[in-house]
Amino acid sequence: MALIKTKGLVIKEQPYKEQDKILTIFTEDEGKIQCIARGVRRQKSGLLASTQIFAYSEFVYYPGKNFGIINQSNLIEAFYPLRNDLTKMALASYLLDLMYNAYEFFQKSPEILKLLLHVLFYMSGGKAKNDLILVGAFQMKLVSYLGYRPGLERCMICQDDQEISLFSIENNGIICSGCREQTEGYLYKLNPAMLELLQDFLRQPIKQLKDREVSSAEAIKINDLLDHYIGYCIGKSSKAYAFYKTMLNPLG
Amino acid sequence: MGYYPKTLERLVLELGKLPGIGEKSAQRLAFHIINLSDEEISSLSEALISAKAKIVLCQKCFTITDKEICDICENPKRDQETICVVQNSRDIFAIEKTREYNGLYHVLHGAISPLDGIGPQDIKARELLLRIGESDIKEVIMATNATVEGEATAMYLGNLISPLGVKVTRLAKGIPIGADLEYTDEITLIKAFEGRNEI
Repeated sequence: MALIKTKGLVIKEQPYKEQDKILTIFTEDEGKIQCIARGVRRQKSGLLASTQIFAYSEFVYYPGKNFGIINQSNLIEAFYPLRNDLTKMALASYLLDLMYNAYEFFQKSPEILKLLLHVLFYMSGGKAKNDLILVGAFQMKLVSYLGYRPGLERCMICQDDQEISLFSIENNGIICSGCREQTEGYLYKLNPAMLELLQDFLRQPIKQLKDREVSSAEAIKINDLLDHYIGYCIGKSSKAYAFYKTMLNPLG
Repeated sequence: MGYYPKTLERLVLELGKLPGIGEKSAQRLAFHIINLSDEEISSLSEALISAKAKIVLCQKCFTITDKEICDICENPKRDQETICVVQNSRDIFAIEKTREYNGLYHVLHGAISPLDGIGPQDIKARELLLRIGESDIKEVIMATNATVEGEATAMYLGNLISPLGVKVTRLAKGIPIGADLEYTDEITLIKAFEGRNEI
């Protein structure tokens, strides 16, 4: 079978047998794939650095029905500074977890991969005013790309654009105070600044959003809302996000 | 495997559950075991049962031991002011083989991993901080793995320990002995340059 050469980001790794690993890689050309990387837990393996989690590498592999077999890999970017800050690492891990949960094997999404690489680049380089904004923007753009773009212009029930004060998970978007009684399920309170931020997450590119200043308390509320919404849409919750929330009070 | 007696089949099955043992190796081991003398068999089974029953965690450093306090922690000749932090007990055996380090150890029993949901509360981090607080430790050497999880754990613990006035160091990274420079990855080369020594 012909070898496949593609660039990809390692989004999950599991130890396999004595010295191997099973990698989940989100690739540009083949989408989300699983590959066995043989001998990569050995000290002298040439594939060590390029098969670690967060590694963006060029992979050459033999495709298989379930697992590919890595033949060669060259590291392009390791996003190394993420290791120096546990909060950054927790947030970046959450983004990888989202990619893992949101896509099926062999499902392709080169645009979202590109977006994720940009986010990781800004995050690891400390180039954003607030990393939580990067996470929120990625959450919003991902869920929209998956086809679950939330309604953020008018009340999802009466279509009015006045007195918007809530986000309804079950109604896929914002609702006004008057319609509160007509909806069941989980509601998030929104102030005008939070609504504007959610709308900007949809409209503005990451490059612009990274310079946005916002209080961390407000950004966390938005991240919580979007994580809940994504979980509702794709039917899976993120273990890494739960970790991030417990990490805010680590040894407590 | 219907061609083996049931008792032998069970032995092969149990041995095959061990790490790194496939069916063929399990069969070889099983045939070796049934050919052992009664004394050898008794000794082997006794060793297995007593290892499982008597191995506990050292109350100070949390490595595996068959006593309340392990030999290293109990040894007054060891440097009582330095702690080397490792992820598991096997790392201690690797470091001890070098005969280069004479301090104490602390075994974390894992590393922080957001994707696996392993947080600081799931490893022996709190115990390390308590130990440093209670004794006169001058240096803590972070010898966790050079993986993403190991690095993040070292950095996280370092940030908690440094304010206590204790020196925190990290094992150096670089080119393995016997390796060709041209096959070394960029990250390792960068770290090797950063940690270069005067000769």
